[in-house]
Parts: sequence; C-alpha cells; structure tokens
Amino acid sequence: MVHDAPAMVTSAALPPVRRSWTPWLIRGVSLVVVLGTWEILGRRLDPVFLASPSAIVAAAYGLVVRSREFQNAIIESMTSMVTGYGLASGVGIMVGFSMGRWRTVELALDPYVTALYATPRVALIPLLILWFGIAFELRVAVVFLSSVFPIIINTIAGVKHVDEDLLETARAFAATQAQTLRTVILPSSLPFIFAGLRVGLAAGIIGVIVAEMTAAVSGLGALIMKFGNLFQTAQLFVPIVAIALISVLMTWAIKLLERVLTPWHRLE
Amino acid sequence: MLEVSGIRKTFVQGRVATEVIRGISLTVADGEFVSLIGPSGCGKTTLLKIVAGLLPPTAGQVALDGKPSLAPSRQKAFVFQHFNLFPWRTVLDNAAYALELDGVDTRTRAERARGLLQGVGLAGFEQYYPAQISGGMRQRVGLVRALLLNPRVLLMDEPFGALDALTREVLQGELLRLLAATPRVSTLFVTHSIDEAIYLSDRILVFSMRPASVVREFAVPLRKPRYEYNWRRDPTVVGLREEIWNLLREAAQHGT
Repeated sequence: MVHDAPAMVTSAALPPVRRSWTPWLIRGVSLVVVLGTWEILGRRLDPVFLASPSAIVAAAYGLVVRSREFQNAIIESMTSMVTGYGLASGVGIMVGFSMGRWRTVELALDPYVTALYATPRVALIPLLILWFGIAFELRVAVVFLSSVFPIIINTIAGVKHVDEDLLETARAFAATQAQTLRTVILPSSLPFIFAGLRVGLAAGIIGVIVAEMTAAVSGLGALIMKFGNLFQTAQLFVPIVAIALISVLMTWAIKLLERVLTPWHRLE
Repeated sequence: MLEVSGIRKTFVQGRVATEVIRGISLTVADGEFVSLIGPSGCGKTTLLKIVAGLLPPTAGQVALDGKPSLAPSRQKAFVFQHFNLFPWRTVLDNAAYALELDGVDTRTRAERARGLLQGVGLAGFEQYYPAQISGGMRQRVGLVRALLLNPRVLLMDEPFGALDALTREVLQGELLRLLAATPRVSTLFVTHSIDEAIYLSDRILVFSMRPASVVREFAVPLRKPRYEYNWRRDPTVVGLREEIWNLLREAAQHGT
C-alpha cells in the first residue's frame, strides 16, 4: 500500500512505445492525391492562371540557387520578423505581467491595449511609413504592433489565472513577493504566455508580408507583388511557399521551447 | 509551545458581519498533537488559517515560544486538504519548496528531501510531476514539504479528507511515524472524523456551531505508538467515540 496505484503512475509517465504508422500513411496518400490532381490541372490550364507543382519546383530551384534578389528577400523578411517579434515578446510579456499584477498599471494601459488590439494594425501602415520610411524599420514596427497585443493580452490572462490556493500556499510558507512571482505566478502563466506567443507569431508574419507588399521595395512580400504584376505565376508561388515554410519552422520552434519549459503542462 | 489566546473573528462583507469565532484560547505543547473537531462550517479552518498567519484575527493573539506570531512563518508549516502541490514542480522540488525559499543550496535540499521522501515510500518518484501520482502520494509529498524544514508547529487542515478510506489509514500511520521522528513539533489538526482524531491525538477539542467556541476538551489516554496495536477495540476508545459523537450531534442540532 506504500506504492499505491503503480499502474496509473507508469501509464502517465511513459508514452506508449508502440507507434502507429497509419496517420502518416493517410497524410502521404492525401498529399499524393492533391499534388497529383494539381499537377494534371496545372499542365492543362493556362500557365498564367495556375502553375503546376513541377513548374513551381523548377522556378524555386532557379530562384533559390541563382537569384540574389530572392536570397536577399528571405534574409530581409526573416531579420525584420525576428527583430520585431523578439521585441514584441519581451515588451509584451513585461507589459502583460505588470498589467496582470498591478491594478493601477492595468487601468492606465488598458484603453490603449484594447483600442489598438481592436484596430486592424495594417490600417496603420500608411502612418507608419510616414514615421519609419519604407525599409527595415517599417517592417519591424509593423511586426511589433501585430505581435505585441496578443502576447500582452494572453500574459494578462495567465497572470490573473493563477490558482488562489497555490498563492495561499506560497504565503503559508512565508514566500516573499519576488519568490511568489518566480515560483508561482511565472510558471503558472507560462502556458498562457506561450499561447500568446503562438498567436503573436502568426500575426507578425502576416504583418511583415503586408508591410512588404504595401511598401513594395524588398522582402518576400515585395517579390510576391512583383511576380504577380509580371504574370510569372510559377515564380509567384515560390515566396508564398517560402513564407509558409518560415511560419511552420518558427511555430515549431516555439512549440519546442514550450515543451522544454512547461513539461508538466501536457500531463494535466 | 504554541499559544492561541482570545481569538475572535468576524468577517465583514458590505453591511453584513458574520461572527465566525467567538473567543478561542488553546495551547499546544512541544510534541503534542491536538485535534479540532466540530460541525462543518464551524470555523475550524478559519482558526487554523489565523494561526498560520493567512488570516488576521479580529481580536486575540498567537504566540510561538512566548513570542507573538501572527504572520506566516516557516516555523509554522501547513498541510492542505487538497494538497496544493505546484503542478510545475517535480515531487522532489515540491518537497524541497520551503528549503528553497530558505535559501538552502540545491544539493543539500535534494539530499534532505530524498531522505524524507524515501521514508514515506516515494523513493524513485522524485522526478514525477504531481499529475502523474495518486492522491495518497501527493499528500505524502505535502507532509514531507511541511516537515522538511523542522517546523515548530504543524498545521493540518483535514489533510486526509480528500483520500479514500484505506489510503487515509495508511497515511495516518505514516504521519504518526514521521512525528515520532520530530519530537518537538506541536501539531494542530482539523478533522471531521472522530476515529481519526482519537487515533492521532493527545487531546481533542470539540467545537460548537458558528460562532465557534470550544465546547469540551478530551484527553486521549491511549498508549503509544498506536500504529502497533488495534486501538479501535480498546474500551476507552468506545466510550470516547460515543461521548464525542453525542456532543457533535447536539451541536449540529442546535445549529439548525
């Protein structure tokens, strides 16, 4: 009776060893069918209307390997994305924490956060162009404004969602304010913060592309506009696929970080 | 020695004032185990929280070894009914929580936590999270967390109330064993179970309905260690059980 319920313990602690390949099979078949249909359709239709996957791959090879313009576009989009998103994460978590923790800060900042969160941030791009020009700074500003609000709002929710009983527990053990923050409030709100980081990431990627399409000087968004205007449909798909890949990679990186930092969260 | 004197508590919410505790004084000597038993909602938990420093009393004083002690302190450890383990901490880190707050270095606190965890059969579970272990195991961690810092006072709020009957009995035995190893600690234990109070306590205080006051005090004259024999059949227990039961029933009827 000392080790009660060992069966429950092992089943929760260890993932099932036997892996099923069925999901991968379904995904594979689906991909083959969709890409195959697309290829057949693409070859029969006007190439300006729809490029086939093979034509897109050929265009991608040409762009990725040979075009300095494309390589630069990826680097520019990525650096502005990472900079703006990084700033938004830092500021968003700090502001969200302060707003969730101190009523005064919340009352003072809430009107702006609510108003700006409700405003489509792309509507601000013309104003931001006047302030920041049309290059790097503009993209960083747009990414920042796109990402920061979901991060703030989720962090506030996380800080406020802290279990009162656990706060009382920290108090019963005479934890200081700083210790309570570190050992209770921060870990408790981490899953919420990560939810905000994921939403903020998606918003930031939309932001950088829209900024590049509007200012249309450089970056993947500008390339999309250029190939669209030139009716180069196969090339047009390449920056779109690149953006999709970047999104997937960054989302995956955030999820990985979340798994490492909140290992308990999957258990509940 | 824990001294609680003249505690009153009235909760005020808007214009409604609810008197919960009407003058309670009690002492718990070093190494003594005192249970508080009474009808639900009578204010036992409120009293425990006042002693812990989690609630301010309306009047009265709490003193530990002669010094006023109305604020939370790691000298007064709390064991909660619903365990209150931190879900993001492993068994080991939950157990060592108070040591960590005290600034004890990682290695020392792991060593000390491992020692006590092993004593309650949790060796090998140090790296598990609370969600991965049973209720009984969680409360063992709660016990270790409370006792690891060698507190002067142990405050327990129906710690076994959320467990099944069998696990409950096993944990009562383990609590007695742990306490036998920490002879100076004064324990104040809130419970609904008469048998639990008899089995564990040196003295039992029976509370009235709200506003709470102590109706009567019983000494439990059973020989120790009690986990070594069948105390339930002891004739003094049968009489004591009956007497407490009658008092509680009376208190409950007066309330309604």
